[in-house]
Amino acid sequence: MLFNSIDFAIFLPLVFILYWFVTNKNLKLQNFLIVFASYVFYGWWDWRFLSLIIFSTLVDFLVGVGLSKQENQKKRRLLLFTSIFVNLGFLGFFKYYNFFLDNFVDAFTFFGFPIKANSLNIILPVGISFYTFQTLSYSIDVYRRKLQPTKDFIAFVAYVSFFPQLVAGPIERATNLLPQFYKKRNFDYSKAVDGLRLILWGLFKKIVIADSCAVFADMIFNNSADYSGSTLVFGALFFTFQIYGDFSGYSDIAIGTARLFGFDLMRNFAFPYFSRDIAEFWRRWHISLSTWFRDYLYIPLGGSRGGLLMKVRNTFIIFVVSGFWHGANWTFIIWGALNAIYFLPLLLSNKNRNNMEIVAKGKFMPSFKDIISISSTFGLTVFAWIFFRAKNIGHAFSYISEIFSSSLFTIPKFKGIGNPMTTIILVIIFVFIEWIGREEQYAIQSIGIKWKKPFRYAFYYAIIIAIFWFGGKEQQFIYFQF
Amino acid sequence: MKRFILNTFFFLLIPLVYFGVNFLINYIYISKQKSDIPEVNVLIVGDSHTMKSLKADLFNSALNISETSEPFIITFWKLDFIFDSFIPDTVILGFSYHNISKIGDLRFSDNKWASEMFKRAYPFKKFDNIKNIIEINYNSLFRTIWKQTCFYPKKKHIKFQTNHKIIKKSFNNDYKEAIQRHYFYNTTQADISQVSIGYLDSIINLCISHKIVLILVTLLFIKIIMKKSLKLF
Repeated sequence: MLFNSIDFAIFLPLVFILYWFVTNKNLKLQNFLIVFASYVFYGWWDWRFLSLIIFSTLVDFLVGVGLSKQENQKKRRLLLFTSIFVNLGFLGFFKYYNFFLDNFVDAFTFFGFPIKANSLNIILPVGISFYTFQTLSYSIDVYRRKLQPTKDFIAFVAYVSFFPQLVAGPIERATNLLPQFYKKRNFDYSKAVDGLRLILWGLFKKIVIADSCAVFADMIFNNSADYSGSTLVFGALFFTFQIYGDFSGYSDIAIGTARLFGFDLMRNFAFPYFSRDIAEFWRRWHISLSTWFRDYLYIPLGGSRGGLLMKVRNTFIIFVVSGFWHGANWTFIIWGALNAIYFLPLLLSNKNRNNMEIVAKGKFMPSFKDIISISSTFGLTVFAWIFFRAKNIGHAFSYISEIFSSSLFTIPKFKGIGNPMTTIILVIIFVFIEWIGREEQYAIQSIGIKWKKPFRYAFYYAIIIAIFWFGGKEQQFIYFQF
Repeated sequence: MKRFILNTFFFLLIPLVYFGVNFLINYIYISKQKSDIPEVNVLIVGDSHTMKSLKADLFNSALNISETSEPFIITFWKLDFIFDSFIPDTVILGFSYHNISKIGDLRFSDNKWASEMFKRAYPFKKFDNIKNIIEINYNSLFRTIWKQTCFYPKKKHIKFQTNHKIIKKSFNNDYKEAIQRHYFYNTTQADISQVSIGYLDSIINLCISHKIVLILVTLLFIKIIMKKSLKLF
């Protein structure tokens, strides 16, 4: 079920009413309702996918129970490996099987040993990368004794399958989300209103910004050979805003929906395109995944401790794995490696934690230095997105080589797509609103609090009208494919 | 909780009322709408072929209201609507092989085309007549009606395109693409459309009933496309 669909517009109020009016007196019943609603939400795509999530949930719950009873370190490790093996096994099979097979075949053929292998027609279950990481974090935290294993099965199932963040995050940690299922939730008016505001803003980002940019980004990337370098630059820019609007929009709707039910999810985006260096960008982009890799991969590998080689190795591992997490394609690996190359100079010169606060805090305008820093970081990010969006490496290189040709200095033409002016104006308005609200948790939070009611309502209605005007196509979210 | 639900309800009520009132106003406008094109002796209708190759100025008192990719269904609805206001002496209708290809039927279901077709045809309110014989993309239809009628009051819902540019370029190099575009849906060749043939019949009957001379013309086709098209039938 998509957040931007009629189905969800009916589903959400229905679950909300049942949750607060029918099951509100019994915590277990409330959690059970969440499980039921989440399975309906997930099964809406394909009920067969449910078997995977149920199996993964059972394995991790039993691993947790086992870890709670086991003091023998070897046996504890074995239990942990069971969880890792099952979760990464599912992920590996459904997401990477054909990729590895094709690459092995290519490699053998390259060295003169052609082999034949049949790739499988595997459907990638929606959100598998998200919920496997979420369940893994539970097992690892229990193994590390950072978390008491739960004995409440329904609460655990609800934690794994919680529908607002099930298919595209934020990837929640058990330490944050699971305890929230143990406590009785009381309806909080201001929290619910804040949730609605977040949903509204998320829908705006997805439907008005991302989907409008997608029309141009898709057309330009899919027919890049037909366009000049200057148009291709616009294509990359459109994709830059498409992916941000799409993914951060999803996260906003997820966090907002969770708030309606009395839950607090972690923040996933913090105005990443206003970052002054790549290190800051990665602290602000897909925060739940970055911190997951930091805590469960980077730090266990030694982090930034150790010698120069160790730092370089660990940085490359985390970025390349992060890229590979997005999909079984060399383009994602190059995208990850490219970000590692951007990041390394900052790490090696100990400048990776220079920009911890939001840019120009307390001021309206940034300094000249900030403008240069933001622009150059944004430029590097846009360049990296070309690899992320391209069909394959060859496509990415031909796209880039056309950008750096003489056609870069021609007037961009959008043959066969239409006039991009409305989309450009929308993006400018969007960036402006984000800039104004950059010191808050999300852009329109302060607008909701500080403005007088008539202005506030007029603003909300303008957003609603824009959503309805641009909406209706029920476009899939990009990150569902990951 | 009650406060939240009530506030949310009243908050949403305002845009709902706004959209509802606009819809009602537009519905009234559409119901009362009449053709406002000037009364002419010759009416040229059809798709891009008549649109781009027949200059209305060449005739005495003529108007070309052809539109790109127009199927006979819409042409029939247009003529039926116009004939309520005036009756021309002659109707020139573009008629080529591709006009009876099923590609025309797909215009109402294909995501790329449906919204454009519905945008042109929603004021005629005749989709019920074809819903059993043609696949209709209802999502796109409702979205079009929603966008055209719910956002602001609009006096003029039916607009006929009359400012056409005559094209002069040669199509010799593009004939494969032209055949693909006119007869193939992705890689599958489209069948002959019984619906288009039926609606062509309806146009003929409509003209006969109003004593109008109907001329069918094949335009903007180079020899090679004609030959290749014929082979497809």
